[in-house]
Amino acid sequence: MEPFWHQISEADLAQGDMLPSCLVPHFTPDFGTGDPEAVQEVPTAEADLIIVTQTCDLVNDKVSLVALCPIHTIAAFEERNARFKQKGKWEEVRKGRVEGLHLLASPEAPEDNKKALVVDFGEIFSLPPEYLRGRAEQIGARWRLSSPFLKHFSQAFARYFMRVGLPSSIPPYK
Amino acid sequence: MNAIALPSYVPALYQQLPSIWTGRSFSLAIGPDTAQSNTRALEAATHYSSRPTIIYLVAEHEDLTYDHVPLTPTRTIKTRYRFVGRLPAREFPADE
Repeated sequence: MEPFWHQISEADLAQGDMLPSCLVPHFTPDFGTGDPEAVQEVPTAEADLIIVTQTCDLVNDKVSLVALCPIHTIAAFEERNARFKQKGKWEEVRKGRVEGLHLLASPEAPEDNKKALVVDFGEIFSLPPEYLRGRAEQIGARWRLSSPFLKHFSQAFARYFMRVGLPSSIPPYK
Repeated sequence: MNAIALPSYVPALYQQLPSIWTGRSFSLAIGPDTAQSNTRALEAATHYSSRPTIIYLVAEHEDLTYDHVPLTPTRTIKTRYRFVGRLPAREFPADE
């Protein structure tokens, strides 16, 4: 089986870079509405993320914020979404039939589909490139998605955002 | 100003600019196939400098670039970050 990932250890960022344990702020709905002089609290969580910003934009410093999506183990995703434990559900995701979710083989055990990772395109975090480069340095050896899996991933992300819902459609042919 | 015969692509580019940029200056770089000489670029810059938005057209550049527009209005909010542990997966919508 062709590996999905290759290992790198550099601070440079690219689309498809997996960055474990990044800090992400979680702004609550009431953020910014209180006393402007008071200190406001921003809950901050730790998340495993994968970069979705195009590599050329990162290399040429064309972005001041990098877009990343959370990447979960199947077990962690099922913990919050029990219906995905049902038989056949992950096969639907694998076939690209569940919009917003994208499966990637595990870097360490690509043959084991239970250890695959799932990216949720429905949550996007924007973090400064400087922070992410620092984080990449801290991590050391890390995983970068290889082509053509990278291109497939990038296309899936684009397809998720370009989808159009129609109010009605031609009745199915039976 | 209106007497200047502008290349047809210039008004088209101007129309495409988001309204957020009105009143700001920025640079546009357009490809060599559309911007054939610096003279044309200068004509365009002269024309549009009378408008709220100043456009600098740079000929013989390969792509369309712009500086990031600062978010305005800005105000300072004092914040304190509180670590809340691992980010759980979100509850995935049933109809997606």
